[in-house]
Amino acid sequence: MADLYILRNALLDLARPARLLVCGLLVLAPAGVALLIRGVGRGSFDGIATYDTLAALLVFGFVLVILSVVFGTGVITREIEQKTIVYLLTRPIARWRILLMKYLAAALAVTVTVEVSVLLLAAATTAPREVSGAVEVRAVSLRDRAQFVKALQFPPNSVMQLVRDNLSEQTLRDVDGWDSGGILRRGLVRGVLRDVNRLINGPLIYTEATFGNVQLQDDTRQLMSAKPRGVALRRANRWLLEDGLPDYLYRSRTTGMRLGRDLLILPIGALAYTALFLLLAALIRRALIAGLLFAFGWESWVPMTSGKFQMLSIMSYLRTLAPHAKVDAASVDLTFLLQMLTPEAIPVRVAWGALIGIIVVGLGTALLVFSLKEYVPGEGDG
Amino acid sequence: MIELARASRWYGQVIGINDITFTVGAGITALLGPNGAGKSTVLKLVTGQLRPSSGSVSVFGKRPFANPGVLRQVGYCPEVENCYEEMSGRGFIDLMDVLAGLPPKGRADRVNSSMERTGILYAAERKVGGYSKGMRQRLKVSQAILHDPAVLILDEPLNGLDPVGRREMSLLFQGLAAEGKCVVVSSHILYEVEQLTHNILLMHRGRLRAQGDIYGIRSLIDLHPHHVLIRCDRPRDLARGLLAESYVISAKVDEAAGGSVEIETRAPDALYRALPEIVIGLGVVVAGFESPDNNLEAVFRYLVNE
Repeated sequence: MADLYILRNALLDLARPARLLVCGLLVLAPAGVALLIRGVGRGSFDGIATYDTLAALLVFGFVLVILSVVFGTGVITREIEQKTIVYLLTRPIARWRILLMKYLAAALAVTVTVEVSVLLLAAATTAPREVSGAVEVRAVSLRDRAQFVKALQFPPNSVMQLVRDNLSEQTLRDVDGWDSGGILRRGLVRGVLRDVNRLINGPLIYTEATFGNVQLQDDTRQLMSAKPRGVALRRANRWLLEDGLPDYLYRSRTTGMRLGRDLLILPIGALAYTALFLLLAALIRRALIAGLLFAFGWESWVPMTSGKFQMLSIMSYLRTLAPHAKVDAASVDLTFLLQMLTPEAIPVRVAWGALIGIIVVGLGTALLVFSLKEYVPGEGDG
Repeated sequence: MIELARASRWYGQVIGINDITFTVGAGITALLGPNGAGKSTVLKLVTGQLRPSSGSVSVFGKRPFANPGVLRQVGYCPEVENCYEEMSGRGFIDLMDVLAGLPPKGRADRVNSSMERTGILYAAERKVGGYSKGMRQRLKVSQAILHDPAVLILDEPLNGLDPVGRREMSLLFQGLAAEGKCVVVSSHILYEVEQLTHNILLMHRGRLRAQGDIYGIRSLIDLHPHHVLIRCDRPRDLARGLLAESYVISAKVDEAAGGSVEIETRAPDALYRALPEIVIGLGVVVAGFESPDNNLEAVFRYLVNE
């Protein structure tokens, strides 16, 4: 009962108007930037790419981190600065219980803020023609049916050639017999879709000869490397076709699919970062400054380094569990080059283990330190 | 109830208190000393905020540092004025009640009762941020007595209170002491302590200089000359009149800046009693009256021969 009261009180303290205003701005920022890009880009707007970029840079890389620093360190430093910590330390309640409830309140506040932020971002980047994420190719999956059939007549690349090679005899006759200026029969389109879906439902279509020149998306690569079976295998084939035929097929990857994953991983990130910054505040006085330097120095730089060094960053583990598409090769910069130098991807199991370990060890150590350390606000001693 | 045995506490190279030994039981004990004497360090040791660097501190025979078992029997009114500014007075006392581990049943009654006893119930719904210094003192005392502790540690509890408030608080502390509680009040103002208790602990520069009955200490002080400055329109006449009294050692007249006379006496109380009659008899108009020695700084200067 007392614990719940402390938790409620800590949440009310976090919900002061000034903090709500800052949180509100941070919640809206990613979606606001997305809408700006959408407005400027118009026809060429790529919802998924925009979501990926802004989720990685703003939600995970900024909003999550800065809120964790401010709320995580604030749990202790605010009490010390305002000299109210004396009321907590002289009451007959175990110190660790007070700190645990305040930690949960801080992590909850960070989680709610980043979750709302990413939800709004997803809403702002959802493309109007985006489909449900279904694996099957339907008529609405084609950007332009006539253009698609025309491309099947004269394949512009190896992937379209693969599709053509897998058409049934009847469909192939219909395709070749179609006059590109004439009316496209419904039966012809149905036949093409049936054959494309047969291709998708078959074994993995990836071969170096066919897809060697195609720039595959990160999630396509990740899905293939997981040796997919069943629905995952069909999804891999669908995504391979989308990557190889971006001008002809709409993407079945919805922001919603990434959103679900991000909504799961963001609370883990909030718990881990808040535990780390809570520990920092338990140990040193100027925790906010140290936390900001760590968050925007170390955590920005270390995940981009090569080899095992990247494992010294929480962000590396979060990126493993919630990967977002990297920048296009056309806009290569130092960051991208550093990422290319990272042949050792962190295994998913290791990432989960590391994050849970950081939460347990960071929080446990913070509770222990807070129970044993003297916290006396600076004041003229009488 | 409270025992310090050769307790010392350093803050790095700085000594907070040095080799202090005393025992405090039921009743009111005043912890006296000028700023920087180490009073707050003693109180922080007793309330479990600090550990002694050497020696021992115990309350009811147990070490108080982060010890909920001990703190359940201790109420503490800190010197700091800061509070949770966004909370209402009632919200703050409510929180303190929860942190005291008291059951939800009867909480409202306990909160009302403690606020009523300190005379702050009328402002219970107002935000602490809008409280005056005196109101904050009352609120801080409310949270200290809330859980009916056997030991009350009050750090400068009368600061910021008006004379009526001081009187009310003093009566409250005396009432608690009469119930058998151990009340320790720190102060650097001798006058307010004299009205509260005769049992004192005197600290100076981290050391315990004297302990026991205040009259004994006052008599020690009275052996030393005491200075009283009187600003008046005819300082020369007043000096002549006062020098006729046996307890006045010397009088120094300063006719600049409106005029004043500085009296040196071995019996300040006798001087204060006789002064009104002398002034009226001479028809002198007194503009101001102060005693540069009537504070603990001066007392300690006497006691440590500085």
